[in-house]
Amino acid sequence: MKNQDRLSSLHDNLLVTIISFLRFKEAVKTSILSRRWRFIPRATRNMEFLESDFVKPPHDSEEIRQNKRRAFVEFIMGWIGNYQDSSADKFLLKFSHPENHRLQMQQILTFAINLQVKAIDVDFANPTWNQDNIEDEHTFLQLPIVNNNNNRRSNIESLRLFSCNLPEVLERSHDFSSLKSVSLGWITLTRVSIQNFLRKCVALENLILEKCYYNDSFVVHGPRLETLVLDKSYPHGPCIVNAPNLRILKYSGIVNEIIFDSKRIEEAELDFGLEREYEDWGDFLYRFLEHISSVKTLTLCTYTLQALPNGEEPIVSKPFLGCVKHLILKASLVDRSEFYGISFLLNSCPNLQILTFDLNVPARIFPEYEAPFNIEQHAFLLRGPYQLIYTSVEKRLKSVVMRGFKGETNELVVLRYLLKYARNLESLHIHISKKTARDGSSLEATYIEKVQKIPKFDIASQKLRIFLHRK
Amino acid sequence: MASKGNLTLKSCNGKEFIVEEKVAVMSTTIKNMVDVDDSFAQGVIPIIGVDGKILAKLIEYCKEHAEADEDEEVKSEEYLKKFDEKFVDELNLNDLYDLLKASNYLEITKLLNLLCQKVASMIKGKKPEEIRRIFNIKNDFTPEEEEEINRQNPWAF
Repeated sequence: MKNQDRLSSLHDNLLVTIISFLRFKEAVKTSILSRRWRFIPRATRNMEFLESDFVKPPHDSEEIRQNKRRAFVEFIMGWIGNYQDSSADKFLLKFSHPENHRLQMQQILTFAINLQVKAIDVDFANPTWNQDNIEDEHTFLQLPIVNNNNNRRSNIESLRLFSCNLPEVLERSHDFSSLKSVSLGWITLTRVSIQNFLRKCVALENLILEKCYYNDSFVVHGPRLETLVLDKSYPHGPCIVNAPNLRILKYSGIVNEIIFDSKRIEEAELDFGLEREYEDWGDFLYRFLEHISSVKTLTLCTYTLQALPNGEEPIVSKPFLGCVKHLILKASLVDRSEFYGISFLLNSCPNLQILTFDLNVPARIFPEYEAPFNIEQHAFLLRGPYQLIYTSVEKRLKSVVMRGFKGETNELVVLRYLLKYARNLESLHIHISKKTARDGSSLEATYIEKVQKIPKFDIASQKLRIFLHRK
Repeated sequence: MASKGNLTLKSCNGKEFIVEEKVAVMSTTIKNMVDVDDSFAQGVIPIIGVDGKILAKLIEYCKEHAEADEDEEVKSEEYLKKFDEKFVDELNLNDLYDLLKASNYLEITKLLNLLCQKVASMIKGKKPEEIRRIFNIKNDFTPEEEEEINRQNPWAF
């Protein structure tokens, strides 16, 4: 009993289920275990075809790399030719140079779409593409139409297409009613193409668009949509989102109007890092935040911090973001232009419990920025009894997190203020910056030395614990 | 005889277990038996090839999950995850195989997946020799055959 190989005596389908939990490459490797295992991997339900497994060292000549890519494509063709089952759990293909293998790619995609599969992930994007010129990159492959002779119901739950166009949606041809998550990247969308597609996705919960280009305005309908991410995607004109159950909205791009139903919004992230000009967006952003006043977790960028206090109301008279518990500020703190924006938010979020500064963002200070008041009079910089104290800081704030800490003056100025007045602060988490010196040497010791200053500050809370996180 | 709403399961070595129907029908096989033939619901259901020790384990698992399915408030996802982790961690290899076979035969899909995942985690990241050692797999390839497999998929090895 003791030295018996009971694993190999299990039925084939159990061995296949077991290796399907492994990464594809590891599953393939089990064919070397023994004769019993020789052909088991061929049935793995988790197919992951990654160019990077075949084309490895970057210093190969272009010719060698092309040969390796050819071997990669031949391998896939062989694999799908041997695949016996009509269903699978996952089909993944990541290949940055499909242009020389069009015919095979079409065959591979046809195989994938006709499989009863839970997740399809096809990525033809090239890492060298310039994200500033999305419209210049050409996507020529398209997910084919399902060959629906046998009228099966599809069970696909997750679809990710990068640089691969959406299938042409014909009535009765595609069944996407089981789709829960769709992620699209590096493709050009038109109002009609996305609308036709989404009309078929009646159960869609998550929609993620990354670096997509629209030559049209953007309209989304999603009765069950809960998460919408628009990451560096450039619509012409406003985004219209018709999703009554939307809970999470993440937007990154230029300042744009997003029209959506905000009743249930819980989490929002706005990043206008792509905005090139500093304009008077203060009031616009203020109104936007008012619109999402039910939000609990709010992430804002340095652009917002600089633009917000330049609206008509540089200091809000009425706190309007009462639900916000966690505020994440992607600020650089390289100079003081963000200070009034931070004040604006501390004023607006009376129930704030966690305040996170993410300093790992490129500093973007706009020369046109003008502080609404004398910056020397800002609460963080004033000393003495008349310092303005925010209710949120004084009463509610429990935790402060600073990521990318370098110990620069402004970082310490902000921390000194918060520690001085946050009576109920329980924890301060300092994550040391990973930034190295110009010659690549570590600066960790320098940053840690600066941390030593913090415990010497005036600290209001009796129960504060300071945590230091290194890389 | 089991009272209404309960079923009696009998292991291959004669041990009887009275379980609630909702627990027993976590097994698709038992569910089909009960659905098709009412007499099973009254009498004793023999569970062929599964001994008392393994059947007790199966029932322990199904009980937790049946209750969780009924009331999410009492048994959260997190609780079930912890229970599952502990459940598989405490198994020795022989029990693991017995449970795999039994849950396959009884079609308890959730448990079957959990057990397969456990075996996969024992394979993950290991060299072929290590995997063979853990599971007592005898390498019956000739060196030439082994070399051929390596040559077929050089990228994987």
